[in-house]
Amino acid sequence: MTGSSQKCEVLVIGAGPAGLAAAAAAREAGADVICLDLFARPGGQYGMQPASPASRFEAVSQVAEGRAAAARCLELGVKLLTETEVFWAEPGFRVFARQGQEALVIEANQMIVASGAMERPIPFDGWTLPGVMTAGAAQRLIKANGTLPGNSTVLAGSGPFLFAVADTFAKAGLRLRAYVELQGLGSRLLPLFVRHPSRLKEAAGLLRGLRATGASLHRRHVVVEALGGQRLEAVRLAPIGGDGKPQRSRSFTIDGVDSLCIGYGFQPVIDVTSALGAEHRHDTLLGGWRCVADPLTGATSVAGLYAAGETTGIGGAGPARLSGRIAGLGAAAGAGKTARADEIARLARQLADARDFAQGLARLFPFPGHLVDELSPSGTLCRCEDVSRADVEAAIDDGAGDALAVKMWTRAGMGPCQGRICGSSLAELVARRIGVSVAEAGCNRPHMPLRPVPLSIAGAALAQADGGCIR
Amino acid sequence: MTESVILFVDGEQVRTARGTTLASLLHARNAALRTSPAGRPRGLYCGMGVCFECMVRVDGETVRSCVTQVRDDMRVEVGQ
Ligand SMILES: Cc1cc2nc3c(=O)[nH]c(=O)nc-3n(C[C@H](O)[C@H](O)[C@H](O)COP(=O)(O)OP(=O)(O)OC[C@H]3O[C@@H](n4cnc5c(N)ncnc54)[C@H](O)[C@@H]3O)c2cc1C
Ligand code: FES
Repeated sequence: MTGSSQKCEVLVIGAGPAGLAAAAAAREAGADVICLDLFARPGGQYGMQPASPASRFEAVSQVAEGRAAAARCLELGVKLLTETEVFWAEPGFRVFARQGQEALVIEANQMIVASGAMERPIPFDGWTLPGVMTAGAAQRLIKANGTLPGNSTVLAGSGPFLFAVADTFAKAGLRLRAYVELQGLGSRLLPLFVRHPSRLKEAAGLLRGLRATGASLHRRHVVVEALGGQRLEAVRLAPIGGDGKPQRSRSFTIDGVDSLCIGYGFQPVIDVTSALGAEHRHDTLLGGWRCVADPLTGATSVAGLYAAGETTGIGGAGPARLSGRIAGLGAAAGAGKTARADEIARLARQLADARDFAQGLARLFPFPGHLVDELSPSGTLCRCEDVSRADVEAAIDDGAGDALAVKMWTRAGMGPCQGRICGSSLAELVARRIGVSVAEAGCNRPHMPLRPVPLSIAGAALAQADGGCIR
Repeated sequence: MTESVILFVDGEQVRTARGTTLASLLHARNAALRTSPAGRPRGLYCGMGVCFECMVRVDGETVRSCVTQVRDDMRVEVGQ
């Protein structure tokens, strides 16, 4: 196994809207910049690029934006590395990555983490059946790969992202069986759009998309169970009662469903910033645990480390771009380049406005963590290790007082995903059972390697780093 | 025009579009990709490399198929 090493003044992890904006800004300020991403094409989630130029998504504005942002970086001389995944980072900074079959070590003076977001799953009965996937997974299948999630799809969950996924189905000319949204909405959306009228056009377009899918609409409903033997066959829905809980007595089944795409919102990806020991805070409206960053520079609590985009709190593409640019200028200043104060002040104002809209939306679709209560005792909580809700609650009753203790006792969160998938619902269960806040119930701690890597590559990376030790 | 790639899934020769992920090919063939430690069927779930439900073997190495691009002559083993 071979390895190589590179050096730069500013390293950017993630080539989504935030990372690309950060890389361009730092480069414009005169820094030499490497920007890397694990996916094969830059753009991140929002600006995800289709595999084929013949895709009907090529002309979609998000795709065009992603393409333009990546092109701008290349034009400026940013070194863009794709299919490159960071699996460890040390302060200073030394970053260990895997690039295909090769190990890569990057030494950087300043570093910006723009690692984006991931779904914030809520376990329910049957959620492990093949055919059940996150709404984001469905979108990526269709948009980036031109593959159908299934022949008969139910899209469910809560939040504005579901509209975007329905619109993806519509743009691909696909139909949806049903659209299931926990919230009632209607007039509650109005005040927000009165405050941010420029967002109305986008919202209307998404609604048209939903209509074009021909989906039957189920507002104030949730999926309580996915049914099937070896794979998904049917979906059980229940209406939400006056107490905010699903009414099982009025539940009904939609048969002949081979795909359920479900999402209740996003959480920040904070594995790299946590590994580096940056300060994180729990904020329900921003997706749970997020990396704390200075709004004027993007600086975290660790010297030379900056964070941008969803990593600093869920807000969508607008805040991602703006916070990315701010962090790019901040990191360039950290590397001794001069940044323009007038531009930073303007960006910070725009960021505050974009965050205001995002938080307004987040308030309309509060994360329904309590739905984890609907999981039956034998239902799976931790997918990696097949740990049930009953196993977890038995550990709590035996004295496991926080998420970490439950993890040690039950192995929930000890599998390959390192608790990324079950961590937030595990904390929710602990919090509900012993009467503490979700934040007090604990956070998910990443460990080396953050991402799976064959030993041979880890070894080559270490050799490349002069035998430096990894804790 | 989309270029194609020829690879092998459980010994069967398969043609698919270059630039796509292995998971998208496998999911379209059969949603069940592996079994959990307790032997339950699992398939593509997060689609972005964080859940590990889409793991299959490629040329003897275990990979997450959702973040693996299809390549010519890849030997893919599904289900374990
Ligand atoms: C599944 C999903 C789908 C979404 N779809 C939409 C949509 O259709 N429309 C919309 O408006 N918003 C969407 N969003 C919201 C999205 O978070 C924002 O719109 C926007 O993309 C955020 O930009 P970002 O740069 O902060 O993060 P992202 O766009 O997520 O970019 C982060 C990038 O960092 C990379 N990365 C992370 N960790 C590592 C690592 N260790 N090594 C290498 N690379 C790494 C990731 O591969 C990713 O490409 C989606 C979010 C998710 C999670
Ligand atoms: S589907 Fe989650 S890692 Fe591939």
